[in-house]
Amino acid sequence: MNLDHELSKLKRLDPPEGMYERILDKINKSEQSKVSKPKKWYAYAAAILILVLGLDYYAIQQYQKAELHEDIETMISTNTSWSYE
Amino acid sequence: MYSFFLIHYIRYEAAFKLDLKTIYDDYSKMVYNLCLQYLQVQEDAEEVTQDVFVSVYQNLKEYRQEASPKTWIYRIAINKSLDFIRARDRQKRSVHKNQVEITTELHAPLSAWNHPGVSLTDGEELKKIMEAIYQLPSQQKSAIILCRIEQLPMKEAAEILGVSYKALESTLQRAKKNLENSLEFRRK
Repeated sequence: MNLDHELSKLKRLDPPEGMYERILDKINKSEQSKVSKPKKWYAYAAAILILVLGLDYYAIQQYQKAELHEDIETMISTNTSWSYE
Repeated sequence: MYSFFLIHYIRYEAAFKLDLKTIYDDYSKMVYNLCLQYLQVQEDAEEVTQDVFVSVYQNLKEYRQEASPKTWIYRIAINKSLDFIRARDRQKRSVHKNQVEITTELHAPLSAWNHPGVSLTDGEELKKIMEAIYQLPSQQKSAIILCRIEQLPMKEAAEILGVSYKALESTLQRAKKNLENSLEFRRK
């Protein structure tokens, strides 16, 4: 059997109609999925930022309260005399 | 200001899509037939051809003209086809693992064989050859497809496959020998 002779019988075909449009569809779909990924990351980053700022705000509030409390205690302990006078 | 950037962005995207159209017109027949020779199922060849051009589009921006566009596209098509065959084999193996009692045919070559390029001829012998080519190891399969079916010069085929001329020559010899043995075995 002559391999090359047999293989030369193989017909070469044109790609089917509408193939290019299907390729464009696939490209558009893959680009859309690429766009949605960063959006997710933005949402996560925003949530973490809000959480950090919230905790920071809470910590400052607590610190200020404690400082105020300490100030009042110091004031009372050092100036007890005038408070009664 | 915003519209200025938007117009440039659209132009930039349109330029790539225009390029893709030109590339598609020039190489779609080559890619489709190459995928057919590898996969030997029309629907799968169509699927992989689409994936090849999606990949071409996505990598067009990074394409540095180290190799000719034809060589570059050939490489993408070969890699995609071989990946598809590997995935198909894995799927087949897992199905067989779950159905050991049902089927005894563990190495069914291609149940859905459908190569329109062969079906259009009346060559039963050609069908046997193509089925035997499908069962060759990847490198030998590529050597036979590029050198004997696509009839590329050996030097170009070696460049596409990223091997030396001598290595390709010996791979081709081994492929021919395996092919003859396989066809002999099928006749018996």
